[in-house]
Order: sequence, then C-alpha cells, then structure tokens
Amino acid sequence: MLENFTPVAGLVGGALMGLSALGLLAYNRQVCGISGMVEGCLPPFAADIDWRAFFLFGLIVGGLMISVHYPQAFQFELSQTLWTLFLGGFLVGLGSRLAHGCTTGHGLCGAGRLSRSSLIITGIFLATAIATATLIGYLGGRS
Amino acid sequence: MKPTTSAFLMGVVFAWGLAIAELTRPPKVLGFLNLAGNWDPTVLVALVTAALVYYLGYTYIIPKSTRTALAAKLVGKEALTPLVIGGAVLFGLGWGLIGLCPGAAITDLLSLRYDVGIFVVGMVLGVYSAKAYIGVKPR
Repeated sequence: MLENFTPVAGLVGGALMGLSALGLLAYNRQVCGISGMVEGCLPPFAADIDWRAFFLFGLIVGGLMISVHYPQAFQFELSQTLWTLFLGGFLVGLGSRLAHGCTTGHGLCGAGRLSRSSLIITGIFLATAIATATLIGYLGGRS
Repeated sequence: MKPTTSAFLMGVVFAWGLAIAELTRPPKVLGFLNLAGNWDPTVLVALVTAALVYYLGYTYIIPKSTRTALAAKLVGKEALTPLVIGGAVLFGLGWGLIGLCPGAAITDLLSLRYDVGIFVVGMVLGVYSAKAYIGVKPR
C-alpha cells in the first residue's frame, strides 16, 4: 500500500502546472484548457489559433527538455490493445469537448476559480474514471 | 511578452509539471484511478496542488480586469446540460480506460510511440466529431 506514492513530486509537478495555467491567464487572458486548444487547432480554425498551437508545441518541447534529465517520466508500458487505445482516445476527445473542458480546463482552472459547474463536471469525470479503472483493475488485475 | 511567446513558455512549464508528477505515465495515473490495486495518490496530490496554486493566484494576484475579461469569455459555458454531463461521463470512461488525458497524451508524443500516436489520433477524431456536431447543433 502506498509504496509508489511520491508526494514531493506530486506537489512540485502540481505547483508547476498551476503556475503555468496562472501565467497563461495573466499574459494571454486565457483558460488553460488543453482539449480546447486542440479543438481550436482543427478546422475550421479558431481566429486565435496562434497561442493555442504555441502552447501545445511548448508541451512537446518542454517534455523533450525534461526527458533529458528525467527519462523515467516517459518510460511505460501500455497493456491495452490498439483498438482500445483508439477508443479511449476517441472518448477522451469527444467527451472533453461535449463537457467544454478536460482535466485542465475544468479540473485545474475551473476548480481553481471555484466554478460550481466545473467542480461538478470534475467530480463526474473523476468518479467515472475511478469506477472504470477500478472495475478493469478488479477484473483484470492490472494495477 | 508576445502572446505566442508566453503561451509557448507556459506550455514548456506545464510539460515539466506533468513529467515531474509523472502524469505522463499512464500506469502512474491508473495507480490513482484504480482503487483495487496498489493505490498511489500522487496524481491526486498534483491535481489538488495545481488547483490550489491557481486558486491562490486567481484570488490574490490576477488583476480584477483580467478576471472580468475571463468571465465574459466563459458566458454560456457553465450550463450543466445533459450533453455536458454525458460528455463528462465519456471523458471519464476514456481516461479510466487508458490513463491518458489530453495534455499528457500530447506531451507523450515526443517519444514517437505508435501506441501513444493511436490514442492521439482517436482523441483528435473525438474532438473533431464534437466540434462538427456542436457546429450544426448549438446548445
């Protein structure tokens, strides 16, 4: 129990994500919603596609920078079949846009603004995700 | 600072946060979401910390004019319609199934893995489907 728990990494990582989202609000006056940025980069393109594309590009560049010092963050196995991966991706993409946001837009910024609807939406997707992963873990023993 | 410069820098910092908390690793995320396994609340700590930092900055640092501009942008996006609730459930299903959320999936593209690539292709198609559907049927 709790042998994989890395609370300091969670605190530092979480603080950096919070600061990044705050910076985007201060300098760009935008909600840091990553699924919304993806949407704006798909046709018909958002009028303000630039900052969205640059944030997403920054994610990959930032990831490359830290992967030099901390390659473990990008080492993992995915046990799911390719169809399951495709389905999971499709559900994540479709659901996040129907709900007007994902873990960043609702879970970070919305909850951080104490928006009632964002807190409810975050509660719903968190509960659904926990139920799904727990059921699969219970049935298949994946941990 | 140019909007593209600040957005790029914030993307870089966000990826650092994701990688340090290991939200980039689906097994780490599923270690939190799966209560039946070897439970690991790291991801919960990261999410709560991020929201708390955002709350403190939003409340005490961000100028009121910015908050007002933001609120104007969010009008009409707060209604909890059945479509919004259903979307949250679908998102939760996909997140619980794989353990990747949009930011982590895009950051993981750097490893040029085909399995991450397939997830992202599915995700982009999902986003596009929602955009096409909402485009013809406003809520």
